[in-house]
Amino acid sequence: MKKLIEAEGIVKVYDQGGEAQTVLSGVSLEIGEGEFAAVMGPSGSGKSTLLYVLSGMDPADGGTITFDGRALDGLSEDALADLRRSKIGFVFQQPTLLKNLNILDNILLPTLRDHKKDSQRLKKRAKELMDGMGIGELSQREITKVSGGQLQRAGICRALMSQPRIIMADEPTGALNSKTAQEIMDIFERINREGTALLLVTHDPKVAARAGRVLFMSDGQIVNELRFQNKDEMAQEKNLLEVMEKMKELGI
Amino acid sequence: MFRRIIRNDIVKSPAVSFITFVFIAAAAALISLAALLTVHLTGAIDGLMVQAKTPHFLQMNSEKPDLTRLKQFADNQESVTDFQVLEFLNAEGSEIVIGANNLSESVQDNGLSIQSDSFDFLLSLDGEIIHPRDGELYVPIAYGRDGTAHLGDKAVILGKQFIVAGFLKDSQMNSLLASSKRFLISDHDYNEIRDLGSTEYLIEFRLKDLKDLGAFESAYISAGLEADGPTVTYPLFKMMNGVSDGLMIAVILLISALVVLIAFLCIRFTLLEKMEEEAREIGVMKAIGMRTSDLKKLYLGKYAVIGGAGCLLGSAVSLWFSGAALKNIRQTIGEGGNNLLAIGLGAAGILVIYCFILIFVNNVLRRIGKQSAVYAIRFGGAGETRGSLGRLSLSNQMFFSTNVFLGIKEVLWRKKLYVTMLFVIIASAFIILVPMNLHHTISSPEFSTYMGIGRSDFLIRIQNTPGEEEKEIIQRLKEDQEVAEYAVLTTKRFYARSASGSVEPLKIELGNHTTFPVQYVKGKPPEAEGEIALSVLNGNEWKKQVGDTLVLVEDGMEKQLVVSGIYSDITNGGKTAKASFEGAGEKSMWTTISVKLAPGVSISKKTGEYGESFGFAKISGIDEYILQTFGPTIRAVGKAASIGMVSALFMILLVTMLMMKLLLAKEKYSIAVMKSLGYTFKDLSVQYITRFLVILLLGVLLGTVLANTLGEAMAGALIASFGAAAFRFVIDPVSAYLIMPLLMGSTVLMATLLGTSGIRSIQISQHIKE
Repeated sequence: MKKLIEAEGIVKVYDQGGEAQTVLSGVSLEIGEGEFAAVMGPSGSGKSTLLYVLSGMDPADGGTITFDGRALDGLSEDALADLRRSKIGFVFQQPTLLKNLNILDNILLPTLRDHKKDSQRLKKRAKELMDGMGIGELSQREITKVSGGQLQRAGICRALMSQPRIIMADEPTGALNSKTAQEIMDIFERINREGTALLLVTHDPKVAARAGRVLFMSDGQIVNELRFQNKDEMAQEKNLLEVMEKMKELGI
Repeated sequence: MFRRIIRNDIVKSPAVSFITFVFIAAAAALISLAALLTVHLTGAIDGLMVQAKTPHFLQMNSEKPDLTRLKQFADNQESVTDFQVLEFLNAEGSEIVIGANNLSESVQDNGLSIQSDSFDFLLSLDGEIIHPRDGELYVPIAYGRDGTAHLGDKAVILGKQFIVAGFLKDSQMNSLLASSKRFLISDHDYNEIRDLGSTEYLIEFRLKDLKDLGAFESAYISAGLEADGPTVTYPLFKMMNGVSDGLMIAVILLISALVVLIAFLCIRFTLLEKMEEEAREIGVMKAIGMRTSDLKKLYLGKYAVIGGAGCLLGSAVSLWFSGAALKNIRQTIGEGGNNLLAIGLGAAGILVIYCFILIFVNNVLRRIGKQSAVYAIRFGGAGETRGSLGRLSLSNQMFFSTNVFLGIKEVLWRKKLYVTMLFVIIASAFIILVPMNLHHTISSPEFSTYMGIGRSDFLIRIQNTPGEEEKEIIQRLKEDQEVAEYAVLTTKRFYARSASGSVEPLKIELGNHTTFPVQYVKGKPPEAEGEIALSVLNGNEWKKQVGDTLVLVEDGMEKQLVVSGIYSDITNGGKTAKASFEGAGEKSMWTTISVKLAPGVSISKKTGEYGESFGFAKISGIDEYILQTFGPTIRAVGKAASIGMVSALFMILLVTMLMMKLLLAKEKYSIAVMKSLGYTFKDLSVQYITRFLVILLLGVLLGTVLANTLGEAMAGALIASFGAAAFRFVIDPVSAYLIMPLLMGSTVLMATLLGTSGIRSIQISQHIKE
């Protein structure tokens, strides 16, 4: 498998009221093209920070990150923004849509900046994505007038618009009920099958069990890892048990 | 507890608190200053006029009046308490040399006087009645202030030597708008030179009660007493003394009204934003059972502190500044006005502002009661109603770039939020444009036509013209190749039937009034034999409109004239008339010849030439005339224009920075989201700049329209108080429509760019992270 992300010894330190707090202390990992990986760990273990650093939203304080063969450190803010816009889709726990735009405009927002002339084609693609996620009829709605699950689907559509190489998601099902969470995970799996890599932070062992690989974090380090060869429905139950056992073992 | 919350709140947003504080302080300072100045100005004028015992009624006359007849008249009038005739010895400007200067360029009628015995005293700067010794000369304060004369200068007037012993305040002629100036010398010196110049006579009356003035005036006129010069009454003296400082007070009041408005808008804006920002907290507090009034107290407390501090600083500043502002009044008019009353009135003004602030804040805070706690907790907003999103869809527009479109959309979507900024821009454009246009108008060549002087190059004035001298000049003008055209206007006295049926004198300027027309409010200049035009003041006095008939009475014969037009005039007390018929029989009072030179001919050279040849005539260039009469006013308005521009730009800078600060605080989340989606710093800056430029464009447009309508009317009303009517702005398009918007635009741009630097420090993870 070709490597998409290579991270070596990443360090991230936050200033907490004048006191330096090390959130990531020498994290190394690789994500392959089209891979589906989940990150688990207790609150404060550095899962979300890892995602922000890997996507270039937060600069690392040490170590090296290479994305698609290109080193992130030394890139300007603008170059990092360009990278996020073109190659990375990000999904947050709370759907981060803007109130002053309707659903369709929110979805188009990142791609319209560069491809204004293509707006007809982009609109068509957005409609297809929305139809695919069952929110096709909501395109002109204001975001305060739809449900949380619908907003999260719109957020995923937005992340997919630029046909990114990877989707990073920070507890995308954390704020949803279990039925909706299930549906969202089905969508993620479909996206992954179509060739987009997935890096997903979660608390939910059921979600992690659907990934091909689970990374366990504690105190700013990756402390363990599970890999699943078989992901069919029968195997998923077994995978889930394995994840839960590992969580117990690590005290998560 | 409250105290701590308020203190934390102010400390947490120092910039916003400070800007609000500055506006309140400025508003308080200006209001209090205006109050101080008004009290002192009116007090000083009253003081001067009481000390000097200004005449209630003054009739100028160029020939020696019949004293016995006047005395008899005065004795018969019950309302008269005092009567006198003063002499005014006219001296040509070139005959007055003070130090290294002579007054040949002066457009004032300068002359010598002696101190009066009973009233109309000429006062020292300390308000004492001056009794000059032989050889001493007291000079009008106006010449001291413009640097023409200095204490101890040697002076030569009509060939006699003097030493400048001091400056004098003349309750009649202090103002530059009064066209004569009196120099004071001793009786002995006066008698020595009284035959060297022409003497004018000031026939003066003091009345028991100013209420009787109207009746007295009619009695004087109907008695047919001396009246071949202008008549001036007490109220007009008072007005002339107050005009220039009054103008300053009017400008201060205008600016303070706008600053108060802006201070209120800022408060409203910051408060609404704060409530929006803290909607969730407000919701939670309401949810746990806090009363609306408790919450209101928190916000109100903050503004009570900031407002109180601002008002205190404002009053201190106004007291500190009042010294400098009062200097002019003290020097030209004198001390006066109850200082306690002045300070009291200023304090009252400030107190009113303070109360208004609290009432206003309380009013804005009523929204707290209306906010839904549930909505606030769920969505973190106050749930304000906003424009519909539907019409302005990003995906449906092809015209603008995405960033520009997002900027425009934001403004249109949240109109209410940006209205504050819009008002500030409109007010600023107004503050900049009105004084600027007014300044350009009164310094433009066309302005003379509002003063009742046609647009020519120079004027030749001859008093009591015996025909020969006039013919001599006309002959010369005819032959002069460098003269393009000229018009001879002779003023003669006629008698006309007034509205009440009585016959009263009317001075009419005869000649061709179409060569150098003045500004007509209504109608047109008189061209036909049977037409007459009246000045605005005369039109009112004789109760005549365009098309009405005015009846002249000549040797018992009646002559019907149709009023062809009403024009703007401030010369000769504003009461003039114009006609084109030949009034052969009447004796002419004075003649004015307006001359326009061929292109390229030097005006000063030509006036010099004519001045030398015709010593009996007074020759003055129009520009020079306007400069000297209106110079200080033009300069004052110019200064007001520059101050207005600087303060307006400063206001724009502050308010834009304030807006940026608040917007960034409010929109951290949106900015973080945009950044996470790959929008760069530049993209976001373009969005913010677009928002402000949209508002700027709209504001400048509305402000310009407002300045050219309402502003023009206001300036017109101001100008009309001088007697000039039909006022229109003469606008300099380059400064008004190019430089002004550019300056405002660059200020907004600068403030926005300063503000956008805050975008860089917004960390995505801090504002989105769950």
